Amino acid sequence: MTTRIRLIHLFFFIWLLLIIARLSYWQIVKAADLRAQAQQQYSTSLILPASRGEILSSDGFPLVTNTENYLLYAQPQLMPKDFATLTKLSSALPASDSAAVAMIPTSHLSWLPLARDLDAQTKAAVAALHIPGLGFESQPVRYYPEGSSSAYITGFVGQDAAGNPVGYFGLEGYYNRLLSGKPGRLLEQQDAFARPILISDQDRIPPQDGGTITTSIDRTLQYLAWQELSAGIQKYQTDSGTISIMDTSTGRILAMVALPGYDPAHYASYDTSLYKNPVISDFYEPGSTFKTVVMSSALDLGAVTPASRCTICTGPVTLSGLLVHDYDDQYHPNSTMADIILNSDNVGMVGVAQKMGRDELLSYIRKFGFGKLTGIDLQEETTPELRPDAAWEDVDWGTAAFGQGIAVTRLQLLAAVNAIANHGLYMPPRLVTRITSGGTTKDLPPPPGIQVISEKAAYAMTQMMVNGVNNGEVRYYKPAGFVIAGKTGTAQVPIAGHYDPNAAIASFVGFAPADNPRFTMLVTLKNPKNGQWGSTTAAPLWFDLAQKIFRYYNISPHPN
Amino acid sequence: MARHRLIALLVILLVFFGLIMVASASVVDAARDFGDKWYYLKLQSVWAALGLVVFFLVSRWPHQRLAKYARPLFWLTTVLLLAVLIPGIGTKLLGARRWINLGFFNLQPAELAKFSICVYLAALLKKTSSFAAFLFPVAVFSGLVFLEPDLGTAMVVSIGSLITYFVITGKITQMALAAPVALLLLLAVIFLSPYRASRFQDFLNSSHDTQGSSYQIRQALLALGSGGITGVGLGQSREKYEFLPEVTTDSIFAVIGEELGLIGAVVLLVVFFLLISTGLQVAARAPAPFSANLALAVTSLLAVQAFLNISAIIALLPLTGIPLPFISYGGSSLVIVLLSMGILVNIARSDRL
Repeated sequence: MTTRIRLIHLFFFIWLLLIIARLSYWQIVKAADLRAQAQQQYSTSLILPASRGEILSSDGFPLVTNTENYLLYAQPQLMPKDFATLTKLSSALPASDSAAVAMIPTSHLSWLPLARDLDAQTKAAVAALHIPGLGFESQPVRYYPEGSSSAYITGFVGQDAAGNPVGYFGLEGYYNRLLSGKPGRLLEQQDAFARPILISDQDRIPPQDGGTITTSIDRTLQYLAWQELSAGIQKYQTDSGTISIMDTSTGRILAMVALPGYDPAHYASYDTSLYKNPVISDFYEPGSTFKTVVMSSALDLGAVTPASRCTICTGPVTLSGLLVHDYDDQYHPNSTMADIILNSDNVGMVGVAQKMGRDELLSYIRKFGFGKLTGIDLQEETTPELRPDAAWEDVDWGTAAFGQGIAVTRLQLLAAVNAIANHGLYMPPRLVTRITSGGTTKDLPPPPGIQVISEKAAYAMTQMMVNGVNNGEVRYYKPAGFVIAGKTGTAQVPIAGHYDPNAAIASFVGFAPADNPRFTMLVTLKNPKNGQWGSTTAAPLWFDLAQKIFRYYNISPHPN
Repeated sequence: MARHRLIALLVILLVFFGLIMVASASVVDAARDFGDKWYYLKLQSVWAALGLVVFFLVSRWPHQRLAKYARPLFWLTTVLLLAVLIPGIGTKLLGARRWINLGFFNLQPAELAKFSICVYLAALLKKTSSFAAFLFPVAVFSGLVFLEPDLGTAMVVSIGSLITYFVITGKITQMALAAPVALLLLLAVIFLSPYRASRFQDFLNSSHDTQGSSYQIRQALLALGSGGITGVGLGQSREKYEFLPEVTTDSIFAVIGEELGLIGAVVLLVVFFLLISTGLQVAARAPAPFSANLALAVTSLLAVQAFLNISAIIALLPLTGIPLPFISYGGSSLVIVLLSMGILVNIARSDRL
């Protein structure tokens, strides 16, 4: 027996050696390999989201800020499933979520999402029911205190393909990188259920929160413009409309609204065609409002003086075989330049353009900023291209003189007219005045202006526009006691190579007070049904709003 | 040092080391399931205390008296092994019916079987060396244990018994005849059950399905590799964070390898081997055949169980679910192994006479 005990002793000894050999293989030879595989399995990096920066109005009140929404989930195994409890829960939730509640009694899931995007109030209501097995997860979301009225300035925050928040359109789109900040990372070890292992080393790279931007948007003006536009659209039965207000001396945008709009907090439930701000991305033929640009250019060039007389204003004029009429077929022979503006005389404008010549005319149009982006800090700005000079036939630049056959954006026109208001100095329009990022604040001064016409030409043009307001068809709507420079326009809408007889964009552009302009404003209304003319729709709207702005700016009327 | 003192020392060392490792390996599961990360440690400490009391009492109680209880013990064990298979008596956990709920304690009859077979064989082989007589109790125990199902314990019982039979009787011929039959039976058993077939395949190719059935062995190897030579330090295991299944029971050796490294694992192996060697020496020097047989059987089963468990974890043998004696969490296992060791100490004492 002793021999056999020795034998079995040897057997266990050999087994022991085999175990040690195998163990050494794993713990020495393959150790590095296995350790690397293990590390890969334990380590993950957790993204610490950076909080997105706010967008403020000029008085520091947020146009866009952050809030939290809540996801409500149930752990069905832990929940009472009696009818009374579920009914209580159902009634505390939006009606659309009751289907998910109905699934609780039969669900085999350990985690069942019940409702998304609950606000703090609903969350509190549900929490107050004290139903076991319910829980909330918070999700940061954008909150727009001004709602859809500022949507075309702010844009919205959606998600990219990877599910990360990304700003689209407007300021959210243009300043996306600045607003996003830089997410931090938490390198940590996790267990098999992705929970952090507390005893492990953590390597935390803190997130850099997004910067806050302050805009030149005046909340009061923005609200007034929105209110007026909404009322105007009702009153004149229009399809859509825009109002943009610019600070004359700096070129900063004080208000910009367009209708119909969308709610940036629920952008997904609106048609995508509504996302783009029409003021900066919709092309239209400016019509008579463009006469201010051409006339002031002619004055600057010296092609005409205010006292010059029209030599061709006896009847329709033929351009490249095409007959150009005045809108009412009334002709005013020997009109002065002021009369041409007052009567919005198309033939007279053709005469002015002919005095300038094609190349000078086009050169001024380009100087006024047409055919190129204004550079406004909104993402979706686009511009129509201007053809090279040689491609302009006589009829093309002849009709351009009264705003037809040339496409512009509303912002381009507003900025151009603002140059007339601002002593001939063109100010590139901008929205953001200040950026606060990472503890430092940077003021953004307005970009340098461009003297597009002389101060003298600008004053002369202003006089003609004041005259047009005081003595033109719009004089009935003008608030008494204020000197306002303005110009109506009724642009035809080209479709498929000819003008749509039933469509028009009625507009009024102007600035006030004319002697020392504080603001320049453009109102456009598309297809008004109650009166097709700019003078009877857009102009009254412009004056109504201007009166409110005067009151807000404490500009008192002159008693005369 | 006197052999009985050495055994007592090694046993106490192993029990305390076991408590430390249960504490370390179980914190995550305990915190998750009971909200108390020392939950398993507390229970295991109670069993360790009880087991050590049994150990000291038995070590002073003449083991020779056990001989006359061999037969009743065998039948009691058989009844319990049968009872555990009856639904309503046996508690089913993780697909196996292995426990009888006694209210204060879940009894695992298979653990008792490991002790009863030693006593029975010691008494039997004192009188006869008949292979058939030997085969009967072994087949009854391993068969019933296998039905729970608990193939691992059935293998410990049969292999441990075969070694005992061979050393005592020297009859290699019957064994040589029985071996192919046993092997065929084993293979049939393995391949008739999908999960065992899968485990066997894992052993042949440890990466054949890393997220599925070979997951446990792969995680065990990742633990061992992470530990390297010196280990990541006591309590620092990453694998115990619910990557490694059965971390406090069958897989605890992987945590030892991870936290204490190759050095710690080899020290533990040496301690086990020292205990086995001493046990075999006790058997060789025992004054009476019954004592010698008993010492040999107890030592063989302990050795087979310890080395099978470790061999499975390091992918030296196919995975079988058996606890590592002294170390793995589990009351029945710990108390029974301490009972056996108490008897071994008592036999060691008696050889001085």
